[in-house]
Amino acid sequence: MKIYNYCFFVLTVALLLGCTEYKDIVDSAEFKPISISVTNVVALDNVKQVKDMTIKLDNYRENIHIVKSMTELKVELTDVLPGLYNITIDGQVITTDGETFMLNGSLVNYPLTKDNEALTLNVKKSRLGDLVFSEIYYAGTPKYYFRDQFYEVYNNSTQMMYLDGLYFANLTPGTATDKLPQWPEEDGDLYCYAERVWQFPGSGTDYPLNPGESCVISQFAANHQLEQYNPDSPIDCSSSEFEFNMNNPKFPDQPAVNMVHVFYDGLADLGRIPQYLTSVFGGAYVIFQVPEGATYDPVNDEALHTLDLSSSRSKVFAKIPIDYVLDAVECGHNETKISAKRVPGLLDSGMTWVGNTYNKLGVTRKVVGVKPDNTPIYQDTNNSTEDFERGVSPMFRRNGSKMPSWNHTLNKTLN
Amino acid sequence: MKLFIQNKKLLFLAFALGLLCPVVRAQVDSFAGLELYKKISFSNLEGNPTGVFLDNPMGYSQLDLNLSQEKGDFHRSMEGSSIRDMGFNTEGVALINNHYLKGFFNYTNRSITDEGYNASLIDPYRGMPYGVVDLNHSDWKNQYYDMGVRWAYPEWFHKLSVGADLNYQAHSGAKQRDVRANVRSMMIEVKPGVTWSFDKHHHLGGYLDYYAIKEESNNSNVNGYVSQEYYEMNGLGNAVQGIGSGRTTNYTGDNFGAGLDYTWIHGASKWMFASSYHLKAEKAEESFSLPREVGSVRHAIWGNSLKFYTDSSDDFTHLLELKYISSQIKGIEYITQRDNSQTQSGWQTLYSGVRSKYEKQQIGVDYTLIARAANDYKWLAELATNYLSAKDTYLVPYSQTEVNNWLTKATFKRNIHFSGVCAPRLLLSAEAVYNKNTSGEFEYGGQHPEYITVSEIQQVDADYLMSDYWGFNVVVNYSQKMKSQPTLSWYVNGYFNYKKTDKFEFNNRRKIGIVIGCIF
Repeated sequence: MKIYNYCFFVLTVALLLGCTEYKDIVDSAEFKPISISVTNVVALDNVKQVKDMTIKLDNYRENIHIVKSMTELKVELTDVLPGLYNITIDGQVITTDGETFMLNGSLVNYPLTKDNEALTLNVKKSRLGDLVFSEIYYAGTPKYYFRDQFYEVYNNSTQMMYLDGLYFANLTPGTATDKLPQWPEEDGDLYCYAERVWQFPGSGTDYPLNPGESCVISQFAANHQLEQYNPDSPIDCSSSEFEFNMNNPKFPDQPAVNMVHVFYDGLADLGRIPQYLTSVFGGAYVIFQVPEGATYDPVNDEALHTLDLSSSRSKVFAKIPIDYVLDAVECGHNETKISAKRVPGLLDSGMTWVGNTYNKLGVTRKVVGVKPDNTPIYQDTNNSTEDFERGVSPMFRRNGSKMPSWNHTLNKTLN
Repeated sequence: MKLFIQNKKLLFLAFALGLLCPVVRAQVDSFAGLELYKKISFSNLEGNPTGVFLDNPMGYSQLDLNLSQEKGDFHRSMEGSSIRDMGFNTEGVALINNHYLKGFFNYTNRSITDEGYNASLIDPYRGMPYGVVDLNHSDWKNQYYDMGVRWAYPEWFHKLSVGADLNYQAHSGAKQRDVRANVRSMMIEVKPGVTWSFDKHHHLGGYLDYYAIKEESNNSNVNGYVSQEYYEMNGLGNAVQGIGSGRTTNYTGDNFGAGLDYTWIHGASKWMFASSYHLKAEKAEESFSLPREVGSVRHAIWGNSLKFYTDSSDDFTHLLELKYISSQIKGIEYITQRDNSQTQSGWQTLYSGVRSKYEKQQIGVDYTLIARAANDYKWLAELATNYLSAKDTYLVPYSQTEVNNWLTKATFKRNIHFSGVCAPRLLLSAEAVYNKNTSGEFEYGGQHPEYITVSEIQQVDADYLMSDYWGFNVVVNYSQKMKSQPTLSWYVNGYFNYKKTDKFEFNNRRKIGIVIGCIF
């Protein structure tokens, strides 16, 4: 009889659960717009002037974008469709010291589902971008050729900057996914987390980048259009300034200067992967600078590396303080993947994309002005959805940006 | 075919009952006779399993093999450019010690060529808007197993008839190009019913209906290097674009329904009024390991019919049927978010609400005049007209499709009896069809008019539904009895259907088929 009792019990529970679900569906109410209010908390002192403050609500899954100017620190929004939103407050502040800061506060993938919800959003300052990613090509070329990936970094400022000692990293997860890692609670929102970290070589003054100049870092700094590689590739990377050399004899070291490997899985070694391939769906990339007097050693400093606490794997990731980051760009499959953002909203509140893999397309930053020497001024609002043109045929140094004088191809010509 | 193996006993039972008839003497002995019997049976109308006793039930067994081919560009946007069906059907009715037993088993193997977009549902038009579509038109290989049994027992306490239907379906389908889809579905239904006979004139019946459905769709890419563009549909062209290999979708649903019928019999006349209400709730979830609620539908169907039958003389029978059906689907969408906190509790549903509605109302009149023969008929003339009003609405942002169609059909059948020991018969049938679209429009107010879900699926489908068309159906049936076994009648049935429209995007659709079978 026990088995019959058990079956009866299971059947009853299943029926009850089924009925609950049935009732929930049958009794569903209509989808209705809601109203919310957002209060903006600015954590700044020495403020002389605040201007051009706007709040923006982006629901990328449904392509809904709401923008409203803010004349005071609280704003009411009506007729908002329930959904997951990136809420961004942007503006500028000029301090009494004369410095200009971007004001930026954001909530990423915040569920707006309750009518009359009152939100509080902390706004912090972020420096206007000096060094920015101006072009990124990650999608690769048919058929399945990915060695022509490259990243172009541009001096958007009015001052010469040295690349020596700066860092480049790609963040984890490599490909955008809704299952995000779980980081130590004590980290708060102070860090982003890298899978692999590289450093620009140089003793401090070897690689100057003047205003209007850009440098290219290639996965493999060869002419990919050669027969032995892929004639369909849209790009010849042989004039790159730097490359990520992984000591693969099939893809030998090129004249471009090698980036210095810093970190992968808790070690300084390159590891066994024969190339530095970032996701052809689009990764998340940062360049960062360690402040003077500070050290950055994620291999040996336990405070600068961690595990993904949600995973049983023991892979180690490097922690990058977000205050160090000069520029961050997040790329993904398409706009719907913004629900899977890896980069904190303070660094990049959006995402850019090319819509598919191996389609020979890249992303390039939008031009908002021209300097007196005809080099471009690029847009940098810390929102790569807005800042980048998507689906462009990749090229080096577009819009008149210049090659640095120490590029190896120029030196070869001189010699 | 694990699904089918698990139900082998049920399959065997249905198949055996389908060939059950030798137990009783066959009373239906020709193709036209069986067709007439089904035409005038009221129990086919109201769904109550005990209604069979109001129809003077007869025993028969039917077995046929069929083959058909359908082609042409006048089709819905997610139907194939050609469809080839092969299959066999069995059906049998036996009366054993006053117990009515019926069984049927149908199998169809369907090859669809060049089906557009659909990448998740065996029937993309079954009232489930939350499917996956992609860009690659593809062949589909589908199989359909449908089986069922009916039992009824009359006049308990001389007043009460009781009975029940048990039906089972198992279907499978496979899309042949990336994004691939491997889809399986099943439905199991139980329908108990009763009829209370006040006297020989007045009969009141009722039944309950429950069925459970499940459809499971697994997407994948064989070529893992090429990521495919696909869309997760939300209805009326609204969709979310994805890149990769699609998703796994699990559809589960329950339907509860009930029906009432009242029959009045007086001499050679019979009236029946039947009304039924069904309410189905079906949910679509993504993934089995970590389910995410994608969408649900609440589907209510209210059906009413009035049927009148009378023999005006020994030679003529009149049949009149009026029907009204109202169908309302409400599409419920969910806002979900993955819980990436320490608890890792999977996908959380944060909000849900009705976001789309699919309403359909249908009213129809069907009159048939039958010139009777001994066991079948000499000729049959039928005139039917049906008005369909359908309105689909996406609430926010507002989109709508509205279609109003008036369909008229005129059918004439001539059953020629030749002399001979084997009683050869030739049944010729011609039918003319005309559909007039009285009004209709498709209006899209969403965020992505450039998506194929709008421009190529929804717009083209709306254009199809808003088409005027005319057509004809021709059937030639030859049947005769076996000389050695006069209770067995075999038949060959050939048919050709043709539909033609003047709509710019379409031209015609035609179907040709042959059926070989026997009745005993």
